[in-house]
Amino acid sequence: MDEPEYRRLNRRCMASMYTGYAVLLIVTGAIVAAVYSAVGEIDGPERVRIPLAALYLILLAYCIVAPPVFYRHYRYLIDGEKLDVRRGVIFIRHTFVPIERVMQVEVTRGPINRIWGLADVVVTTAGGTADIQYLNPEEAERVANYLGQVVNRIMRARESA
Amino acid sequence: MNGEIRGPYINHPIVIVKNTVTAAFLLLVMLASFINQIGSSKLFMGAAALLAVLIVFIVMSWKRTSIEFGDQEITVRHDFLYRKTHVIPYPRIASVNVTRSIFDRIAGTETLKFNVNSSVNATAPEASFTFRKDLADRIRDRIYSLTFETESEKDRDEEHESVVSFGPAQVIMHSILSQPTLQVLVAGFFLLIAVVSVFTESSGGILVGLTLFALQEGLPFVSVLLRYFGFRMYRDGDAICLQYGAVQNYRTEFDVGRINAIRLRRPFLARLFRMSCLEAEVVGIDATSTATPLLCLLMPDREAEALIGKILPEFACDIEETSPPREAWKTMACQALVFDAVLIAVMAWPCWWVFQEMDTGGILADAVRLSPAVLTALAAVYAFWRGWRSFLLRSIGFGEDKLVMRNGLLDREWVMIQYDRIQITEVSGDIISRHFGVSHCTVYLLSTVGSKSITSGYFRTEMLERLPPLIQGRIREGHYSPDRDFGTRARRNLR
Repeated sequence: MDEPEYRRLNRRCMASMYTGYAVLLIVTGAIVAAVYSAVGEIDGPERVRIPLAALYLILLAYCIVAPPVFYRHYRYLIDGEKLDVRRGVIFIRHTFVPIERVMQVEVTRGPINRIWGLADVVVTTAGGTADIQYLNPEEAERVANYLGQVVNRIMRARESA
Repeated sequence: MNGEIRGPYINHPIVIVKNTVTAAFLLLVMLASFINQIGSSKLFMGAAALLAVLIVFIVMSWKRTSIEFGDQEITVRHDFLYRKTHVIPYPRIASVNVTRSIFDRIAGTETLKFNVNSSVNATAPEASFTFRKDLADRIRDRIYSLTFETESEKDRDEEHESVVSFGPAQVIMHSILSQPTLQVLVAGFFLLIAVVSVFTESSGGILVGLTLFALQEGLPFVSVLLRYFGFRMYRDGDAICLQYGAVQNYRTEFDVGRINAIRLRRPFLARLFRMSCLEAEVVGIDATSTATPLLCLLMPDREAEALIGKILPEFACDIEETSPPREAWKTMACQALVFDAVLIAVMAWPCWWVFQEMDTGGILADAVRLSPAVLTALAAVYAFWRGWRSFLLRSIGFGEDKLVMRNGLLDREWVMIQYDRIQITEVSGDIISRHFGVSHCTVYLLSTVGSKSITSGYFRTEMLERLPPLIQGRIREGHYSPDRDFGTRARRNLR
């Protein structure tokens, strides 16, 4: 945390994303298959089946391509003043949160992240939340502790002012 | 705190009547829904039993909820079903709102709503209590003297004339013209259904069309009309006071320092009459009654702009606004092209199918056959028109301590945001906009109804990326003052 420079994510984030996308593909695949067989009853079923299959293929292509692109774009930086995250696949977002505005910091681990040994840090401000995704749990705890310490320091400084 | 108003108090008994009538009304609505499914006598018996239970709950809750005004804080105690003690320190109180419903008028009471600065409770008061009017006045005056350093509110209301005044005709005009354009269009569509149904002699269509029109346009119109009747606004020192209401009187007062942003709003219909209204994003007032507070109803554009200098000189500053670069139009044109390509790919077959399969002959039948193709063509043209208008209308400006944005196509707004109130900044762009070196900028701030985001049009990415360091620089220089969020005066008074 001493060197305020942009950091990259653990490569396992791709595995976690692929797992999440696999679940998404299975669920949507089941729905597509159900619709695919149900439209056999109507005239000209190919008019529904072809667009449906095309949409599913687009989703499949996105799920294959997105994780490496996401990993390549993702950067985060934390220093004594700000939290700065750059991320995205099609839409690239550069999020900036002054630490002065942080009200709460928490570490969350969903079921897929737990499988791959990853965690997210969620930062809450009065105007909304920002997060740093797919960190090693130790790194996530370190980031949360660091942010917590900085916020406490700021609050103490305010109190004594 | 003055000993004579310390308490503890419980709500005035009119609260029991108010809550019982509300519960009975809701039960009646539910009865109407189920009356065909269950026998009416059984249903009424069940409803009566349920109402009796509810009344017991209402009375017990009334009896066991109390409020006490201590030297440093307000303490609210609930001791029915669950036990809860809620302490609100005076410095945290952002506003005390007063409402007088019909029940309050009958019983000679006032309902005080204590609001704090919080994104969690932005849309609901922290505590709400009904007192006899004279007691409510004394409580309010005492709290105002602590939080706003002001004299009795009644004296000030008599002493100050409203900065703006609106007659009944102007309130009616505001009620009609201030509705969002989308809402007006949807309501117009329902009215059209009703009118067409008259010609086709479909009684069901008339009823459904008129009902939906009334819900979409009639109710909001009546609601706005009743809410803003008798609108008064004045400024006394750092406090801005708003009063309005035909059936239910509403009064709120807030410190100018609590205003995070101001907005000149120009809905499409109002623009036809060159009118706009001024809103303020204020944290810590009860948004259930007010939504975003209006500092004036619709009035001529120039007068509304001049009102900023008159009532809020802190926000009267000339900030040079920048129009989007040519690259923004190129970006939006490319996006419109992509949108049109997808739209045509998706709609080509349905348009062809309707054209082939529908009966021919007669103007109406031909119109139906062609309608999907016409609508698709209109949507395709709209995508370009939207991009072009957005390119012409939007702007952004970075001032010394404030940011201004001009947004909207049909309903337009000009918004001025204090840098020191921006919580999160986000600069974002898609593949096309990145190619042209332009992005959107979204700022998140605390508003009257919780957190809110405001997004700019497309501007050069390097220009928008100047915003985060600018905010950080102001924090470093000590401009960000948390005291303004947590009742400076009250804190000072209590020391």
